[in-house]
Amino acid sequence: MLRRILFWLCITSVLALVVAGAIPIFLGHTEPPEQGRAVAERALAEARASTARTWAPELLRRAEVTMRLNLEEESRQRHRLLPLRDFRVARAGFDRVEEQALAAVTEAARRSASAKDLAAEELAKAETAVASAEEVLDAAGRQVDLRGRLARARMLLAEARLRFESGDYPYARDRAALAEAQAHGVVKRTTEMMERYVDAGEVARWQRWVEETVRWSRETGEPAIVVSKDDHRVTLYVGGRAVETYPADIGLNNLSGKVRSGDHATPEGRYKVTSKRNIGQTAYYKALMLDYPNHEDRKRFDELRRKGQIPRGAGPGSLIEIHGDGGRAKDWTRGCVAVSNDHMDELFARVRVGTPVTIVGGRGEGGVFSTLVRNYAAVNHGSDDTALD
Amino acid sequence: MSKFRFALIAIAVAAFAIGCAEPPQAEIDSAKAALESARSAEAGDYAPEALSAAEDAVAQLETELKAQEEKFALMRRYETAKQLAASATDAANSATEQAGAEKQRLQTAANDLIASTRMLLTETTTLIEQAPKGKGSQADVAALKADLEAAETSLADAEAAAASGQYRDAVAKAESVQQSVQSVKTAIEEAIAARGGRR
Repeated sequence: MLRRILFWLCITSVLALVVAGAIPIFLGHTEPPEQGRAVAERALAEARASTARTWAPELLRRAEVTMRLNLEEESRQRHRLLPLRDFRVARAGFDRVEEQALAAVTEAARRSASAKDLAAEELAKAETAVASAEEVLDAAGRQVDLRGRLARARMLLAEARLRFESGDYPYARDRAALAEAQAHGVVKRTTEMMERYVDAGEVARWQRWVEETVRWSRETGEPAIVVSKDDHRVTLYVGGRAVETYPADIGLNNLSGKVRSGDHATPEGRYKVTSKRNIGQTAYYKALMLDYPNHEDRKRFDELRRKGQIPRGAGPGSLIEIHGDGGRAKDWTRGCVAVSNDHMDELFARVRVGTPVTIVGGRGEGGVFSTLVRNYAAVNHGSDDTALD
Repeated sequence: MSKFRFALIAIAVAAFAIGCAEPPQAEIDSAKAALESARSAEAGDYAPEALSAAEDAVAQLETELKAQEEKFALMRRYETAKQLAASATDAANSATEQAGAEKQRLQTAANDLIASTRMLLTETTTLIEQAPKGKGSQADVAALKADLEAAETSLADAEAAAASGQYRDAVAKAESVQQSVQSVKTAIEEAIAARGGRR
């Protein structure tokens, strides 16, 4: 009896073991995840070949680490007895590798697109800044140092564009930012030099000179000339009325008042025509000689020389005229005021020796320099010129 | 019976000799070393696709090796692994070669571009001395000279980049300088032409 019980117990145990071992096999847990592994390997290979290596290296690395761990897990399961193998973890792991590889590719594309947008935005800002710097520097005449800075800004911008086209967006953005900073520095430095044309005290002084000149013309009925440097304009008054206005070119150093010989600046002050030079008597068609330096000019020169601001051997300058060969729409003279030959003919005919000539900076608005100062006030507020290195 | 026993022993010895195959370690080491060389040769920057192919080949080799390790010792075979090792070595060597060729190409391009830009700069610096010296031209000439000085500084930056192996940077810098100098040269030539060729 006992023997029979033991016999059937053994049979039952063996049958139970066989069934227990067969269930995982039947459910497929013991089947190696060949297909899953192959899909994961393919996804990882595609991710490696994509821009993920550049733009999402940490996500690509994560996928590679997950792959390695699941290969080890698969290997561990393969070493077990068949009924005890369970590849579910490895199978799920390979699915995760595929997801992670795809995520690396997707994130790389997103980051690349974002970097491209940022670089494009910076390029646009740099282009605007360089155009602004070109505008102000074109008006500023002789500013050689700043011109060199502007050239650097242009080259940085060109370099940024080239790197953008080759897909190196971070570098392109960096170069564009440098170009923008350089250009803003040029704008700031240049417009700071122009600020005297909007200085309230200076403008009031110039206005007073103009009013006195016009009043004199009205009271005497005689012609008088007013030159406005900011407006680049010569106005002829007769009997206190503005009868003609002519475009004028001024000194190369157009942001300063004249201080000394050779500074190429047009003086500001109240002068008179001392002589008239006809064709053949001057290098510039016809000319009206002025009595620069006047008393105020000499006084200012002496004061500056006392302060040590005048180079040794330099004088206050002379030979300031209103002459022809002008009307070029740029400032080029060594300090004189130049109009076109046709306009010079008209002026020459209507003025005489002794005619007052008042040269002022401007009205404080509406002129070339005053407009630029006001237009770029917002830019200057936000920038600094430390980029000019 | 003794013959039968002898035959059994002979078969067992033969099976043992065949089954206990060793992995082709020399070929595996060679493949891994070739991949490291490719990475050191900056194949990631200069031949990224070729490097990627080499990495895939090594990954396949490692997968095959693992698969063989999982088998019963007598059942292991390494012929496929040996072939994969050879392919991986070839792929890695190819990546190294392509990286070297691309670096050489970029280096040559950078040096050629810098040289031609240097010539253009010298030519333009000479030409500017012949620019029309008329009334009011001094501001324009001074501005162009400032542009050329800035170009000289930027070209020096390009030369420094090339000397330190940053050939892509050097090419971009030299191209931007060339554009700038060319525009100066064009401005001078137009000014000379406007004066009727008189300098």
